[in-house]
Amino acid sequence: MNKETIRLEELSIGYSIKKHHAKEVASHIQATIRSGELTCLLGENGVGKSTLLRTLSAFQPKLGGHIWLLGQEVESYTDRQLSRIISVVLTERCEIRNMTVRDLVGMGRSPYTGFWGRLAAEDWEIVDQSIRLVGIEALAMRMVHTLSDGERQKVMIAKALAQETPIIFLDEPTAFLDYPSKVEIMQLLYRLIQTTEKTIFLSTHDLDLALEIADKIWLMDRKQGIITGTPEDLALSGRLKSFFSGRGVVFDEDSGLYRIQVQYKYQIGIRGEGARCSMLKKALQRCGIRVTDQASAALPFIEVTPDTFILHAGEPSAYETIESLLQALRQISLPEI
Amino acid sequence: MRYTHTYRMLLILLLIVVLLLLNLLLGSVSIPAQSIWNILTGTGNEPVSWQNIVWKSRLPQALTALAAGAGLAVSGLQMQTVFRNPLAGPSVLGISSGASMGVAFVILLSGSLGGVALSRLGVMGEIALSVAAIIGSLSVMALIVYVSQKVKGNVTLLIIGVMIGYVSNAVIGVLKFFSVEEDIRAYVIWGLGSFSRVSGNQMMLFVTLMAILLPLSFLLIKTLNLMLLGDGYARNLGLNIKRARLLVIVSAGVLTAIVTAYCGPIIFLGLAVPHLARAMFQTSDHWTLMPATLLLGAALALICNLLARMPGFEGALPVNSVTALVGAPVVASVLFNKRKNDWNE
Repeated sequence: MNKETIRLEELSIGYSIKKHHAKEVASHIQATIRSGELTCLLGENGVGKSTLLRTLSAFQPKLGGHIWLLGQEVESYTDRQLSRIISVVLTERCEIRNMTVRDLVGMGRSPYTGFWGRLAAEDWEIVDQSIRLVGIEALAMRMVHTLSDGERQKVMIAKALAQETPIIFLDEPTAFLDYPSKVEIMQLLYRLIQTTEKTIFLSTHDLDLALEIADKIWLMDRKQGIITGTPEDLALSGRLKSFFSGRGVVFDEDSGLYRIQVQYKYQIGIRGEGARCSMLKKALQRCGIRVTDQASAALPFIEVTPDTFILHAGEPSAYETIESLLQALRQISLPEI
Repeated sequence: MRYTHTYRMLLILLLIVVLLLLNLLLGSVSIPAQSIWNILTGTGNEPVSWQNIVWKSRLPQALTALAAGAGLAVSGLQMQTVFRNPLAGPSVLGISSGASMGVAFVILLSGSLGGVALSRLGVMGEIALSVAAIIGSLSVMALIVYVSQKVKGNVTLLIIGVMIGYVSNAVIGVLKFFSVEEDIRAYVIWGLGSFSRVSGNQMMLFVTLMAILLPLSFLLIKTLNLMLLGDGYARNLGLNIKRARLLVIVSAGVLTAIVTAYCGPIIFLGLAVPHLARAMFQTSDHWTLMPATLLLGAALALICNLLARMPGFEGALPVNSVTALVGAPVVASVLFNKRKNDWNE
């Protein structure tokens, strides 16, 4: 079941510098976020992703428009109420020494604890449940400062879960992580979206991961503001293609993912098929050599056999690895495009 | 709180009791333990001079040390948490510099303008100093509190605090330049810190004030714990950062102001004791750290007071020298050993 939990109407965000001065970062934002859908915010550095997240979590005031959270404007909530509606995972690293993971996750219960902040038995139950949900039972008694960045990020997600809020905002949760950890965090969030009724909204720079895993994408851009949709719709409408246009990245419409743009200078033919063939194509592309299918007699070509690569340029010569083949290609002059 | 924590806390409490007794027992005049007991319980027939030594010198000094140590340590812990800076201490916001400035005004100006050296005024002079110190430190604190509501970053606030400290030191320097030598000496002696300046009714007032303020500072335990997470997370968990910062600074500031007013600017304890407590209890939870810091602060101050009066020194050693000389190696070795354990893990 998914329903609309956040609605932005004509929202403009930014910083008010003096009383009548404001530096607008983005304006006329019109969008909704639904529960049960993983929503990813993409955009270049400095475009205002963090500002948007900070505004949505009421850390800083909006400049205009409306933010509706669960049917009420965000300003109508008190700080205390908000702490039970929104939980956050921030980019600021929690430099905390001598605190166990379980205690840190327990801090997520603060909005519910009394004056002294002591956790009751039910609170600890929720803490342990959150730890299980994120899959960090083995870390529970470890000190936070001994954890890796990826583990720490999971702890902060567990903290957000312990806060028992319907909405979770994450500001670049996959930054600074190694690739497997990035994937792990994204899959974890996806699992949470499916097993709980939560609304999860995160900003990220990991385009490919976001395009593969997210249900909804928000593209944030200085010129066009925010465009939302499923990754596939955005691909079909050409939005993804134009999003990074002219920045050394091209959008591969077959895979629906971005890849690095290459300037081709030479061309060559290939005969053969299978994995060896596609790897060879990839290597040639990287070297700026375009692979053509047209078998023109004048063009040199490479024949891919199960155990060698045979270069037909003048005398045929065989190479065992792509590395040695590339070396040989550098020695001869390939026809330019 | 784990049982080992309670157990350790009780051990420190026991240590404090032993140190208190030692403080009564040891001194330049040797008084047998039996006589001290008799004097305290008001039984027996002990010489009046001994009674005076115990009631008017040793006991007030010990109680002052205990209360001052506890207050400075708690204040230091609060400052370190609110600024998330291990080098923060009670003196970091210029609050004790404010006290020094107040005292400098009274000591140095009374000589130059009034033509009386304050050192000749006796008890009245002491009270004037305390009042001046409190006025000086509280006005700096008011300034800091005002700034804390205007600036966002903790580091900015910290730097402004340090700047205020520099300004007050500069003012003191100017005052010194225009003062007579006798007064400068009085000011320098005040600056060395002492647990023995307070006596009689003043001591009772000081200890009572601390007995009220220290429990009050415990009301901030949840706030301090949340602040450990950093502003963003703390705020998201429902903490009003500005108000929290104000409360913690006022709490730590008032503690520092009062201790400085009665004992002079005592350095080191406030900075070091929280680290000692963290190392001993291996936790950041203020639920444990606050009482631990309070008790350790009291114990360390009592040890220092004891050492300052060791036979041979005859009370001649200034407290500030002893706190640093004794405390620094102790704290450094505890932290160093803990480091090794960290690596072994």
